[in-house]
Amino acid sequence: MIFNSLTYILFLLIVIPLYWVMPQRQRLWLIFIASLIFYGFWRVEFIFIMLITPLVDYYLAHKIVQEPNRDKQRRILVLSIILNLGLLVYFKYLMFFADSANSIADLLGINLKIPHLDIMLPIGISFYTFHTMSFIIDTYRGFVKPPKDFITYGCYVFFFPQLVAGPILRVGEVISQLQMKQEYSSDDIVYGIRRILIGLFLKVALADNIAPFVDDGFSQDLTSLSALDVWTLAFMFGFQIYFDFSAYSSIAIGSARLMGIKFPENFNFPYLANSPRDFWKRWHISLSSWIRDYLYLPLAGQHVRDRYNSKSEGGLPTFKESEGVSKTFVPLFLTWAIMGLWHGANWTFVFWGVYHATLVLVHRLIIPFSGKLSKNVLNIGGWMITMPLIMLSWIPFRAANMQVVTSMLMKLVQPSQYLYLGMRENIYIIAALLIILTIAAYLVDKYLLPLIYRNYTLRFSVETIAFAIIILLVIIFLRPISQFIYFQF
Amino acid sequence: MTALVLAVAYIKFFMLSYDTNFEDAGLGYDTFRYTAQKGGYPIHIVEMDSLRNLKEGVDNFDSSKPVILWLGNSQLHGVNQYKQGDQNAIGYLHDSLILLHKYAVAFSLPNANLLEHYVLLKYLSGDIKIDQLIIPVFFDDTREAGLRTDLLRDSIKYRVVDKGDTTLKGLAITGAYASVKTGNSTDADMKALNATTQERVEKYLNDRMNEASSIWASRADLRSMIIYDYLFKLRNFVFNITPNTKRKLIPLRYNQNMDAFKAICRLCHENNIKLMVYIPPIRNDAEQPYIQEEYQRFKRDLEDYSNAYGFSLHNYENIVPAEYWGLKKSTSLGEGKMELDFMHFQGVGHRLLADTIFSNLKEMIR
Repeated sequence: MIFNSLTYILFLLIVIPLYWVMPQRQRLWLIFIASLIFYGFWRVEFIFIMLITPLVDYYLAHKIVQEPNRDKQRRILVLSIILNLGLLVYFKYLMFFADSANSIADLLGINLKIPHLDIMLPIGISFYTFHTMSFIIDTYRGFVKPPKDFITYGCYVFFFPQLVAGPILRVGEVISQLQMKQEYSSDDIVYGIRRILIGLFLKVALADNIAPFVDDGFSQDLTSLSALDVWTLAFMFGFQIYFDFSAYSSIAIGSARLMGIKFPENFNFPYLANSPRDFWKRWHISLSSWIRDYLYLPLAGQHVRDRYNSKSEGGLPTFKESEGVSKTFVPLFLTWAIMGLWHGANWTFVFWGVYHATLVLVHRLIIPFSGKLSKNVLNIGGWMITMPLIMLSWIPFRAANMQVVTSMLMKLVQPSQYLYLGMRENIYIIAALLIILTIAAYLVDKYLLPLIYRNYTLRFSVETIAFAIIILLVIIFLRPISQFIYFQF
Repeated sequence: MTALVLAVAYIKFFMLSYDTNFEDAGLGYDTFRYTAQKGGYPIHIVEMDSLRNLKEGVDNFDSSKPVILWLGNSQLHGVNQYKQGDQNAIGYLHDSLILLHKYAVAFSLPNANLLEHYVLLKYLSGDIKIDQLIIPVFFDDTREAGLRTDLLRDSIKYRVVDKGDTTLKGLAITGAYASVKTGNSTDADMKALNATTQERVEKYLNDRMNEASSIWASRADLRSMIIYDYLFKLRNFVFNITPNTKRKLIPLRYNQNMDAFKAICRLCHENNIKLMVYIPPIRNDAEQPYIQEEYQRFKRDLEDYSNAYGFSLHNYENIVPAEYWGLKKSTSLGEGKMELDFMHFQGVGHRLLADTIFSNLKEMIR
């Protein structure tokens, strides 16, 4: 089911009141069934595929707990990971690998023609696979004990607000809240509605209206684009995907809060980051922390501490000077390449991941030389360098193939490509406006709102006007004209 | 709750109290959209949906006889300060040509770029026998690019794009068509639900909401109002954009349009379609919204192409005197201000354009 639709609003209007009038045990059943219905509104037949891995993982998790022998526990874990990744590879990457093999064979002059199959990607498979994998890995690590019944566990994996595009939460973050009887609070309801409204506004009023400009730009003949156009498109898509994905996260947070369940934030003004490392503390926070705990740290041979398990806080691990190349750079690049591939079965995403790994590495190498600079210089200078570099990473993320990526990036290093503009003026105006508004939003949030919140009347007036505008735009623009970008991952 | 009441009240009592046809917002409020009809059939259409009616009109006339096709932009269908009895240029031209037993039809699209004209010509030439093509080349429209949704439909795509057609290379058309999804039956507002279980439910709910609420039913107009009445005017106000503001040429878009124009010339040549190109009328009582060096270069380019491809080129820049143009309401913030309309002229202007074309056509027909 798509959030930006009347169907979802009706769905909430039915599920939420039922949730609050039911006893605790029935609430879990309600969430479980509602989540399956939520998923079934996309494709009913895929519900069964979605159920396979969690059912098997639930069974295997209990086997791990019952098994005293560590080696046997490890074998069970490996079996589970093979199953999870096997299904993910089949649905998401099989044709990518097949096509890549065909291309390499062509290059080598070998006649290899692996036939192309049209395999439909089950929506949200990357997200629910990560959920169920974190559950079995944490069980193996001894961080969690599997719930006694499948329904509680199923509610964690399938909980509809986070089912198809995250946030990617840990078992400990969700199951304890699901098991506890939530007390009705009007504050939670008001907060939930506000977050849903803000999310819908970001999606239908901003992201969906930026999308045609971006689509138009990326569908143009590449020769018609200048270097300035490439920069503009990078910024425009950067804002589109930010509004789109943070909208989804906001609606997810709001929907969960309507049931008294608290989700952590997934975004925190990411484009105001003053370093690549800072960016990953602010962007898709739950993914960066998942990748850190379940991929990077094991690859780097570092111990995963239990404290990571309790929260999906973002951020990359700290590099230790004493560690060699094999324990820092190799895991870094490997992790980021896999993270790129997680987003989509295309070399462009691998490029995106490696690009980010390079940014993190370069930042790490130059940071020791910045010791004498003042904090303000580091913050402002860091932001002015980080923001365009991060925006540039959206080119491979959005482009159709590597040929387009290289053509667009090559323009950036040719001075003659900076001498003209290839698109209509509106797109430049909007891109500039969005940068200004992002900075303004941050300043308002940090400095103006605390002042306004001191005075009840002023706060009430400002919030009423702001939400009146948001509601007006949501009413006018609400339509399922496009999916959330992260649905495809 | 207060915010909800405020939002609904604003839409109900402020936004919905304006009666504006946003489909024609681009024409300006003092310009009337006129599409000529003869003998109960349209001879002039402005959207693909009316194409069947146009074909029926051609068949009714005499399907074995080739027709004269006029492709244009809103100058053709916009009549400034329309008066009862006025026609547009195709209506007048049709009346004149009928004496010579010729039949003329027209298809105009607002801000049509030459790539769109090329696609349209290629598509129409498969349906209608075309003897002669009349086409204006607007300097303004060389700033446009891409193909509008109507022209990206599958039916057009499959006829226009064929892999052996090298004309399409470099026209950006292949990329534009590649992004079209096939078999898309969902309406534009529900694109994301295509073929999902949710689609039926969403349509049902949307229909019920349309019946129950005038606000919900008016949302398409309200969206246009926000874009044209608020954002567009705000932009013009902030950047002081007026009809006189110089529109700078966008080099690669210009080249793309000229490539498409050359493709039109080649297509006409291959299909034995006589081609008549004109530089359209523009009001000459005010400074033009073009950078003169760029505009002069554009005219020189057309002359060069005329020599290279052998079509007849006519300069109609000055055929409509200043008094037959008009004013339109301001497209900036602030009530009551009027501004010059550089694109659309009055009924008399349409008559002058039709007569000029007719006299040039007569020479060609002889």
